[in-house]
Amino acid sequence: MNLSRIPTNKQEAAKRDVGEFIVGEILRSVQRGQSPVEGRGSFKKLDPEYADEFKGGNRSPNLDQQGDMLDALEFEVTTGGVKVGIFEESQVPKADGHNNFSGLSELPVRRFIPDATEDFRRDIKSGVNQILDGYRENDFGRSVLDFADDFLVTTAASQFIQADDTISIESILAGLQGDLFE
Amino acid sequence: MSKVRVDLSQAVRDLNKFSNAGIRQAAVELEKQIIKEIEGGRSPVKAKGRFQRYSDSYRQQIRKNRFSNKRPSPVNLRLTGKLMKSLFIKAVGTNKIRIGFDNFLADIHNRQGAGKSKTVRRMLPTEIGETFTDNIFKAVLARLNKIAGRVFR
Repeated sequence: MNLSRIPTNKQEAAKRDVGEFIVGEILRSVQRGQSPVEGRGSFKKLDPEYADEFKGGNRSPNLDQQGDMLDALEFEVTTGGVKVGIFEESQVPKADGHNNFSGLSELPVRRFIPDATEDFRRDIKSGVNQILDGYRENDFGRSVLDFADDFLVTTAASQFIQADDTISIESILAGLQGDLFE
Repeated sequence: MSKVRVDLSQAVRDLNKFSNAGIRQAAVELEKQIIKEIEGGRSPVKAKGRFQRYSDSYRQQIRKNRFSNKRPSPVNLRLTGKLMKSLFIKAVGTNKIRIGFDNFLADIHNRQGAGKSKTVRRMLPTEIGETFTDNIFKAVLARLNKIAGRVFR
């Protein structure tokens, strides 16, 4: 991960944001039956018999039967960046069944983590760069992080989710030039 | 002395046009993204991750087909669909968006906690310092960038 020009005291937070973002993007891709790995495209549809038995006939492959494997998808902050994957031992065989890093799986490959020769899709990498840019000093323009700050809830009024909850986005439009004209 | 006068009236008109369209489009995209996250079993609130799984007893009832078409995972908070349908997002004035769920269940999931275990599943960032996930913001920004591309051709 390129942490250049990110102050040392902000690097940990930057890595955490990137880790959380990547996990989120993997889950979003998998939910719509697509691989987050560049060049892997859509997942193969589920076998009709399997779909009938476990998914109420729905053949969309979202790797989510009981939720245990995807619940175990997480990130760990490392010295140089973040490590994303399934680290819970009981879920590793399932993850390998889909990713087939071992070469032993007989299931159709539905890769949701890139191997050493692969990478995440371009849109995911661009999101990572946007997040890191938000932590960099002296960068012109607004990042996802700046944008998120506009949405920070700053009043104590919203104890209930009712019609009175208002989230201010006052400065979104005022300060977007950096993103708009890139 | 050299002087030049630059007419910015068209640029200002474009900015106003973008401002009006932008706030509406941000609201539309935000609504889409919040629903997408919740239906995928994820909290739209930053750092909250996947929703906690349903209790064992509830999962057992789901397995017995007590609720038609309900699956144990993802934890999408959907049973009748009324809760998701109650999500409203409106542009208020020129620079604010109002977001909420007009359903009592929202407060149970989001703040009070559901079931015996009082499990909280955050549906909106209503606490001080909270915000939506970067994944949601990236999608909203992408939509705004697209509109800007059209307005500022």
